[in-house]
Amino acid sequence: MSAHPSTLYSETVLAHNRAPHNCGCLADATHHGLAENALCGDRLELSLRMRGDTIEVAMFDGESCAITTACASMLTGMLRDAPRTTPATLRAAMVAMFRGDADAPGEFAAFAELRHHPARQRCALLPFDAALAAMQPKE
Amino acid sequence: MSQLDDIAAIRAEFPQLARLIHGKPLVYFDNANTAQKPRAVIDAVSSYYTEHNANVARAVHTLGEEATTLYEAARDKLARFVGARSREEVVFTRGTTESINLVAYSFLRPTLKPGDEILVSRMEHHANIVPWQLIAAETGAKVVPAPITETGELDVDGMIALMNERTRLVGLTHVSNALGTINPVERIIAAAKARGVPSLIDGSQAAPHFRVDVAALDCDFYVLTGHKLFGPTGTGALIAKRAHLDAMPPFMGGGEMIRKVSFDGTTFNDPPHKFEPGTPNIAGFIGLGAAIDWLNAVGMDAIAARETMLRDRMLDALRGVDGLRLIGAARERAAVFSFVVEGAHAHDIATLLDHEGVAVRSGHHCTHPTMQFFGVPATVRASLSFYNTEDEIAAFLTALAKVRRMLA
Repeated sequence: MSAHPSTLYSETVLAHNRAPHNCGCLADATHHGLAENALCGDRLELSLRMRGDTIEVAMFDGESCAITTACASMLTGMLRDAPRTTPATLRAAMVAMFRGDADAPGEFAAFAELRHHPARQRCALLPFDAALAAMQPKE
Repeated sequence: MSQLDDIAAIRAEFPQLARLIHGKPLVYFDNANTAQKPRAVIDAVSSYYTEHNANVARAVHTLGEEATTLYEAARDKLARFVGARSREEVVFTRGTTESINLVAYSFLRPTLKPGDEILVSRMEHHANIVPWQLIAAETGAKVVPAPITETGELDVDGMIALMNERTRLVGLTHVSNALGTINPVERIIAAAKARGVPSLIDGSQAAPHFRVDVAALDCDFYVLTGHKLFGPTGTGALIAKRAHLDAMPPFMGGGEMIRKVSFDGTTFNDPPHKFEPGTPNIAGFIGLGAAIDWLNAVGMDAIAARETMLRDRMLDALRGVDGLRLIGAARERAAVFSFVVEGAHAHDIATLLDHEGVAVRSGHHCTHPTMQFFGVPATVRASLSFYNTEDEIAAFLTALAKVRRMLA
C-alpha cells in the first residue's frame, strides 16, 4: 500500500526537477560514469572532476524522471569538495531509509516516501550508481 | 440487446473494480498487462478448493474424477473459444511465454542448423524474441527482424520479402501490446504456408478482445495467456496442429506425460498430455474455463463492439491533449494506447495518475526493439477493456491534466 503522493512529489523534489542544479556535461571532467534503469530505459551520466581522493565538482546529464533528476541535482550538490567515499556512504543511507531503518541526510529525506514505492527506488539510486561507476577503475 | 448495455451490472461482477485507490474510484486502464477477474472466476477457483480438490488424471476416487472432469472441461471450452480443430490440439501451459518456449525447444531447436533464420516482427514482445535468440545462439541460426512502419503497422510486403529458403519459422503478434496495432496475420500465415514455413501467432492481446478462429487462420501454432483473458495467472495455452504435436519430443519430463516408464525406455502419452508433466494449475484452468463461460455469455462480438466504441472515444480524447504524442497510429488497432508527454516522464505520470486512482503502465512494456524504433525509452500505456466507461476516460483526462500541472 502506498501513501499519498504529495509526500513523494514534494515541493523540494518538484523544484529540483523544474530547475536541476549541476545539469550538463563537465568540460574538464576526469571521470565519467553511466547508470541505466532497466525498468524504463533511463540513462544518467555523471561527470566528476577529481583531485586525488576528493571530488571537486560533479555534474549530471541525461533524460530521466523527476525522482532521478531531483536526486541527481541534490547529489551533485553534495559532492562538491566531498571525499570519494561520499557516494557509497550516501547510497547506503538511502537504502537504509527505504528499509525504514534510518533517515537519509539533508534534502535526501525528501525521498523517504519511496519506502512505499519499491518499484521507484531504483530511480533515486540511479545517480549514486552513476557516481560509483565513474570512480570504478577502468580497464 | 447486449448484457453490456447495463455496464453498471457488468462492472458489479468484477469485485476489484469497486476498489478505491488513494480514496479515489479505481480507473483500471492496465488491461493489456492483466485483466480483472469476474466473480464467476473467483468462485470457480474457490469452489475447486472447497469442494473438488484432488489431483487430476490419476485418482479413481470421486474427488479425483470431479477435478479431472472440471479441468478437462476447461480444455474443451478453450478449444471451442478459439476455434481449435480438436481438444487434443490444446496444450495447457503457464502462459504465452511457456507456450513459445515449448515450440522453440521442442519443435524448432532439434532441427535448427547454422544459417537458418527465424523471422519475427520488430513489434514483438520479448517473449516472442528471446526464446528464439536462445536457440539461435545454441545452433548458429539467427533471428531476423521484419520491418514496421512509422505508423506502427507491420510492413507486410517487407516481412514476406524476408521469407526465404533459410526461414524456419515466422513469428508474429496478433495484436501489439505496446502499440495496439492489429496485424493482418492471415496474410503472413498464408505467405509462410505458400513457402512451406511454419507460423506462430502470439494471441495474448487478441483473444481478450475479439473472436479468434485458429482453424480458419490455419497457423501452425497459436499461443495465448489466461490472465489477460480474465482468468487466473499461471494459465495459458499452445494451440498447435496435431501433426506437429505428434512429431515433437516432450518439452519437460515427469509424471502424467508418460504411458509407460522403465529404465530400458519410456513411452510417452498422447498430445496434449505429452506436454503437460506434473500436477498442473488445476484451480487456475478451472477458473479459466469459468472465464470463457462468462465471455461466451456476454458474447465476444458485443465485447468487440463496445471496445471499438471505447477505442474511438479514447483516441479522440488523447488527440485533443496538447503536447501528447501517441506512439503508433495504426488504422486497425485495439483500445491500447502508448504515449509520451512533453516535459513529463512516463514513470512520473504513472505514479501520479495512480494517486488519482488511475492505473496505467509505464516503461518499455517488454518491447525494447519497438521502443528503440520510435526513439523513446519508455511510454505511458493506457489499455482499456469492455468494462471501462466513457466516464472513466473523462476521469483519466482530468487526472492527466492535474498531473501535468504538478510537473510543469
